Amino acid sequence: MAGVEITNLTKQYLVAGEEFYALKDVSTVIPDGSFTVIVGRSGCGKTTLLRLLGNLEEKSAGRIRLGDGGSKAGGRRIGMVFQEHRLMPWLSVKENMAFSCTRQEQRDRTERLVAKYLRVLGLEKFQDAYPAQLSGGMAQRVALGRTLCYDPDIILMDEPFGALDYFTRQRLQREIVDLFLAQKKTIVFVTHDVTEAVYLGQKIIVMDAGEVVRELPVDLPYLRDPASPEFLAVQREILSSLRGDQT
Amino acid sequence: MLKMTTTKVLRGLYLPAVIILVWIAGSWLAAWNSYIIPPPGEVLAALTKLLADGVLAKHVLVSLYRVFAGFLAAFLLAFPLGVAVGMSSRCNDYLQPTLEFIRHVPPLAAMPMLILWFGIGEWPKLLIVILATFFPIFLNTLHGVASCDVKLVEVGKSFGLSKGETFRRIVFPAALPSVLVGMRLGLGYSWRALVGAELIAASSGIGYMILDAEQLARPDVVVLGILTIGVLGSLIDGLFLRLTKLAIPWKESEEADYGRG
Repeated sequence: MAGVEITNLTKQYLVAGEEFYALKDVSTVIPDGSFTVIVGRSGCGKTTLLRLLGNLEEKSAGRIRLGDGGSKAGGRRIGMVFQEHRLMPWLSVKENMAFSCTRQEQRDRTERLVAKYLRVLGLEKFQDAYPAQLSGGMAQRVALGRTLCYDPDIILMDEPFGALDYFTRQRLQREIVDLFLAQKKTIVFVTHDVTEAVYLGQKIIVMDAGEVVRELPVDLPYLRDPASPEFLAVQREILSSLRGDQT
Repeated sequence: MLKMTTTKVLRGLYLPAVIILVWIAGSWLAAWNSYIIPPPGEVLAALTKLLADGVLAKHVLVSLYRVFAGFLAAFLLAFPLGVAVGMSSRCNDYLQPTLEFIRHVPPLAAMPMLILWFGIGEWPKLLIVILATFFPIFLNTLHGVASCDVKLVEVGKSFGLSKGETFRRIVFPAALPSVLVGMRLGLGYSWRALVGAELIAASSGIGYMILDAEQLARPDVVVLGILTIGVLGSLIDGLFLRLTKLAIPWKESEEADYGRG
């Protein structure tokens, strides 16, 4: 139940000769098999935190411990879903989903996973289409499928629905909850949308100016009703912890 | 869809048809000196004769051989170099000024030097083709590799791809459309430069055939030569465009961007 332990994590840049802290002394725990949401306004460091977890950037100081990897040897696999779909334009939907497969001996396994997630995500009809022929929501589904076919232990999602319209977004939020309930993977989801955070998260980490300002568990059962008083109470609590400095 | 293309092709045929009609009518009415513009009948007669005795085929094959040999050699040089320079900015720093200098020298300007070094054998012609073809392939490969979206490269990183895999599975396919545009441009340039070189110093090839006909006062053969160059050039380009479309099928849905640069 160790999950991901983050201790005193710091990331600083030099911007025009001045030191800038994207992350400052962040310590928190992401429980195994949980749906954790990191929420905050733009530039609060939430994406930096996610990219450090995904090994896409070098930390300046601190520690990230990815737990013991359960029964698997050689640590954990981390998959990332980006804000843009980032599909390879030259590969079909099916080929994009199999993208993470690099070795011949994984081929059968990947093929099974691709078939499974094409079905789960409702993409079977589009399996031979190219990304340019897909709508934004479809493309983001494929991107999610690509990461799922990598079969990661931890899925990192960086505002994956940020560029989608309201209706598509709502649908995908429901789908991701269904997937989470069915797959039991650890998900870390970054968003600036407080409603989305409360709709999805079992644990919500509120960030501001490179620091964690609040962590709160959300015990509401899925699927949650955004109009219910409990939902609104959590939402209010998050907002109140962010009220400090309005920009 | 098919109807659309037929209409388009038809549209493109109007102007040549008008030119040929004017040519026929003008010659018929003797509107100009038949030595300056030989009548179509004479050009056709020259075509039949040169086809029958195999002279035209010989010159065409020689020119085609030079274009393809030179093109292949240029590709083998330009593509790896374009990839290397595109992947490393330091490599670019070292090579950029020199290449920029060479780029501005028209290949034909080097012809006298090449004849001095290699005589009037096959080498100067091949080198001219290489010089003409190198830059479009090199520069477009460089551009394609250097402008590969870092966001896609990051996807590879998040899946733990090695450097070689990243190149093979992300950078190369991303650069491919650009490489093909460069190859297509290079093919066109090489054809033009070769005919130029053959006009200066050669004993065979389409360019030589034209020069020889001029000296023998055979304008019909000159016109035939020019028409042959144009037709062959278009055919090669059309063929290459077909192959390109097969090689990058995903571009069809993205609004193709051929013929830029």
